[in-house]
Amino acid sequence: MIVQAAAAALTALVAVLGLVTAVGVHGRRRGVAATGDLQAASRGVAPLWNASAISSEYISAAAFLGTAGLVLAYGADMLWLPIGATAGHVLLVAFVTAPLRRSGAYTVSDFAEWRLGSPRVRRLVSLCVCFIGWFYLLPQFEGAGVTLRVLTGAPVWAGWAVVVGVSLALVLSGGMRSITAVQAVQFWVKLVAVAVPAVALLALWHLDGGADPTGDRVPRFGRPTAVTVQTAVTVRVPAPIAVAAHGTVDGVRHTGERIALPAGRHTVAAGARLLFPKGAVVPHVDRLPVRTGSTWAVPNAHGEEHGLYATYSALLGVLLGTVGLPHILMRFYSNPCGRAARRTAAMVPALLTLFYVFPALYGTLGRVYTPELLMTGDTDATILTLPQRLAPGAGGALLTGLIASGAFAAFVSTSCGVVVAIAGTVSRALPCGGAAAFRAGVVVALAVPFAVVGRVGPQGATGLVTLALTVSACSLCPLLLLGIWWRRLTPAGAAAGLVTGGGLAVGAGVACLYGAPWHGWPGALLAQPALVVVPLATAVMAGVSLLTPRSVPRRAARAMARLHLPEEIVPR
Amino acid sequence: MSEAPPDRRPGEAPAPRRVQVTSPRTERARTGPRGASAPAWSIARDLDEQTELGAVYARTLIRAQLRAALLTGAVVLLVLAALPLLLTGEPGLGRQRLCGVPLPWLLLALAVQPVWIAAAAGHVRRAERIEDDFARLVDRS
Repeated sequence: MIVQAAAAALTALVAVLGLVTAVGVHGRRRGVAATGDLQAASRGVAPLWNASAISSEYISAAAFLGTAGLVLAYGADMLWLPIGATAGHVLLVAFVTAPLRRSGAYTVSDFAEWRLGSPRVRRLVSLCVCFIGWFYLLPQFEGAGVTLRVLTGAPVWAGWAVVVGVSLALVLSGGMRSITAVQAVQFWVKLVAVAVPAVALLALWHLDGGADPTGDRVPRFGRPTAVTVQTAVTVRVPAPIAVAAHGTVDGVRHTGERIALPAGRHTVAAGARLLFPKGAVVPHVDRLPVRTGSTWAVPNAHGEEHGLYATYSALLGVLLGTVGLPHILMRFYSNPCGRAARRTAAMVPALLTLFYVFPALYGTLGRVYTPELLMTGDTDATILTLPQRLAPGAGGALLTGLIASGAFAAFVSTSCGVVVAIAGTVSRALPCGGAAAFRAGVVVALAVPFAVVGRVGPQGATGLVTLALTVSACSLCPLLLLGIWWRRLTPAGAAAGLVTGGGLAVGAGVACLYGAPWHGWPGALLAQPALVVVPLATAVMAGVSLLTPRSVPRRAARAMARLHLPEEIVPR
Repeated sequence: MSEAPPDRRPGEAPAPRRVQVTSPRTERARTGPRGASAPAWSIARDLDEQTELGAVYARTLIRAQLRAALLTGAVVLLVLAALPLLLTGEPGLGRQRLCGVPLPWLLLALAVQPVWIAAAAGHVRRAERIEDDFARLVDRS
């Protein structure tokens, strides 16, 4: 089975790379933008094409793999994330895109310097862009690692290396010149890759009897299942079970004999292989909650501490984080005018809606067919494991290959977008300038997450993306909103707000990644700080601006007019 | 424009030269600051150079756009704030089913997203209407 899956995965990888190269070469031959600058986004892209490219950059490993995994583990609570993400694009349409395009700024840092005339604010914004990008790249690395490991058995670093290598090659060879076309094609690849297998799997599930995952009981194995544990785990067993064990369980070595596991916590060493009989209750890895089907199916139904706060805070983080994502904002530069940028942004919610129907479906099917992922903690692999489980053989391998191609497209497109955003921002701060600085920026963008990804615990892709979105919501989003709509914003106010919001959000993120697990209110605040930090950062930004009225830039009114007057009235 | 009038009769005292008086704005609108190809509005330079009048015009546009944006933002926030409260406050609602699928799933996975599509499309229409109205206003003056 794994041989077939490996073959499918490698074919998919080669196919995606081939497609990307072909589109890239074609785009360059057509001379979309012959002016050789690595960073020059090709101008005059049609709105639908650019909207596809934006959706493609937005649908990262987190959306592609992570959402299904989270739905498998947490159920209806996770349906909020796609809603917040799509709503964020509506705010982008309403508040940001057209004025940002009319400012003529390529990156958020350019915008900040143009609007406030302060190199210091520019440097702070660049720092925020780097942190957001790094947090955003981590899950792409993790997702690629999981994908390759699940499908081929390769070590996780192989996936990281693939992402780094492919992003380096693509960004350095093509830059932004042909990447709009590449990204746009990849969106449709991802949509087909997620939609076609979903329809097939739904049909198979129906033929199989259509087992209901929302029954009032903890998930059970639907058939005898062998589970190999890759990394040592502590699991919670909800009800006593008997399993055949090879390897170390609770510190005792076993060689295939049947052992009884009473309800409670147990440790399973790396490499252990457990054989569960049909109907056995599924043990859950310690960090995932044990939920019966009926509480799983209802949002906020399990009386969790601070559940409502966590829901609202996560929603706000995703919503406003989407508004401030540097690599998405940069894309609107490909539109010829503010009006086209606004129309482009308005198409994105429709495209995202097409995509977001499916991850929830995979998570639900996973509850029935791949419950062992709750034990190994590899919930990100739900969508990759399902086809082989429902359709063993060539058909399943084909579907797996299709899904894997979508997953690779997801890593590659998002990574390239983020890398270009970081490199484009960093390169302006370097003294050498030009292509050399851009290349240095690319290396900086990839080296930092590559260095730390090994030390980040098992987080799940979406947790890490939510972190990046929270940083963006607490720092760049208030800056953009106030900078575009409020004349009296001062450099000092912007700097104070960025330091407060960005600093607190990054601090909370690092504490969550590396610190001891927190409980109670501190834990809830650290995990989802947006609901507290966003108002605080905005208040600091506005308050300090009001306290320093003399440093309102002299050309502020003129800049505001530039931002909002249509191009045909004041030709620029 | 500046040539002598052609219909002067010989012998008469030269009449005071006829001078065509035009507002510098009309002049600019005719010739255009950037040649005849670019459409030139009489108020364009006022706006561009942020004269008193231009600033007033620009402020009206920004206010109108801000009102439209705040309206859209309020709709988004209202829907987002209401949904968790609705589902938490009415647990009975969460347990209902439609065609065998729990109602919250249908609501969250299918029903909310079209609202966003409509909100985005509606905002584009409103914002463009504001811009068109403004362009007409500038054109007239």
